[in-house]
Amino acid sequence: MLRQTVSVVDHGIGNIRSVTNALEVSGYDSQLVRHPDELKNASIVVLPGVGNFGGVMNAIQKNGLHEAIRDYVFQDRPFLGICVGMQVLFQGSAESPDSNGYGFFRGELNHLSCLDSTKVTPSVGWKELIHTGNADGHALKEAYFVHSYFAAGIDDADLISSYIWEGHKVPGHVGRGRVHGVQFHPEKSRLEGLRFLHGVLRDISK
Amino acid sequence: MGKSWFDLVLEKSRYVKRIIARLDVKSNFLIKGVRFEGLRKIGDPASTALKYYEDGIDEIFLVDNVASLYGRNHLGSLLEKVAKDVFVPLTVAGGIRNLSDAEELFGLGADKIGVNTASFSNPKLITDIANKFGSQAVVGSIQAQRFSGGWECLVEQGRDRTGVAVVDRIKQLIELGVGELLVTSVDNDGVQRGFDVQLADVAAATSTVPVVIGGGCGGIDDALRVIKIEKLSGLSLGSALHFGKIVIEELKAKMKEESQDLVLDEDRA
Repeated sequence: MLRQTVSVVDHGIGNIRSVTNALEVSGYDSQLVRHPDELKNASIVVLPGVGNFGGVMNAIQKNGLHEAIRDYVFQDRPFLGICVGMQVLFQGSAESPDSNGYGFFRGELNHLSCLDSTKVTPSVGWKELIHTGNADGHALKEAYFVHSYFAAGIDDADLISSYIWEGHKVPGHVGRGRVHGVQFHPEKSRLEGLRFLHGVLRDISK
Repeated sequence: MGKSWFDLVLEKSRYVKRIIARLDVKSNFLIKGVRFEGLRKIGDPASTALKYYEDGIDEIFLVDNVASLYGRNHLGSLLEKVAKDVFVPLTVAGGIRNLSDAEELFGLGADKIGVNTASFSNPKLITDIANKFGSQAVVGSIQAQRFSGGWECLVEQGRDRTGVAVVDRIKQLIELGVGELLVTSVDNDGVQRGFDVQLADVAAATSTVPVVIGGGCGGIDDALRVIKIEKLSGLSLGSALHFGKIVIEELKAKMKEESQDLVLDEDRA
């Protein structure tokens, strides 16, 4: 069977290599995107991201990719944002008040300490997922999370799965149409994460 | 009042910790010592990492054991190889002196960088990495030796004293921007007679970021003894895994069981 090529946005921040390694094993070829033109003919785009909301937004802007990604996403083309790559799909983040998000999903990122300031952050580790939305054939039971900010005030219809952080429900996977985002790291969630990656990319590119 | 499914998910796993395999590496060999000394070659690091991954490990720490002595980290090619087969978080430590050392390792597949020795003389190292890659990508590594009245930080793989108390260092590292701490007992390292429970307790109580305890675990009972520390986030295992004292799957099952018992005990109390 012909392997599909996934375009991975390379903004130079974080674990891009982990993502391309995971795609390789999940049954996809990958191609790094550093220029807006490279998105024009892309069939699936993955936006990885770790660290800081504003840092990732700035890096995308510097590359001239900012508008190209916005156009791509709002055309409802197959897209998966991972961690901060998911966060930028929301309206904004308390982490970087000067940077706007794409506003594809309603909601803003708040610090976990808003939910309970007595608990340890970042939230790190393997969390059991609770599915409330349609995950088609790509639900996974447990995934690796590492984050301090969470999406608040989101539309229930966009929510696919959540986990419980210190007694509070925190979004794990959001999606509308062909545009999806995950707060967890499928590329770091063992075989189950790779299966998820395979399934979600297959389902959004149907 | 009936408990919701959310409450149950939360409760039964409250005491379940991350299990992290620590692989000390010297010139392409997996090594292990006792109290950071008398290092013995015990295997191949890449195939050992793959085995632990297949056995269900949660994370892997790769530590270049002689790096800070020679002023650089040699784990690049090992990391690159491991990252192709192992899909759990990978932390690399040892001999990372500046942002470009860190950038190189992130580019080869590291998810987090561990720092100790260099960050004493150059605290900006932590801030630099955290600013670019986020706090979650920097693990502050502490080598703790017990002295009267507390613990002191050592550097250079347990060779040199610093005069800095572990509790002070924890606060300092968090202020500089680490997102996680690995606290290893030098006294207990490789001895396989149990973690320094008191150290785990004090470190977890002092820290506002996740704490991983390391040094001394010799079997499942040793691991179960520290999971009661609610704020503790993970356990780092070396000898216990390398010498087959702990089977990962078995430890995880026991940890879940124990966690449910602890929650039930709390309910009764």
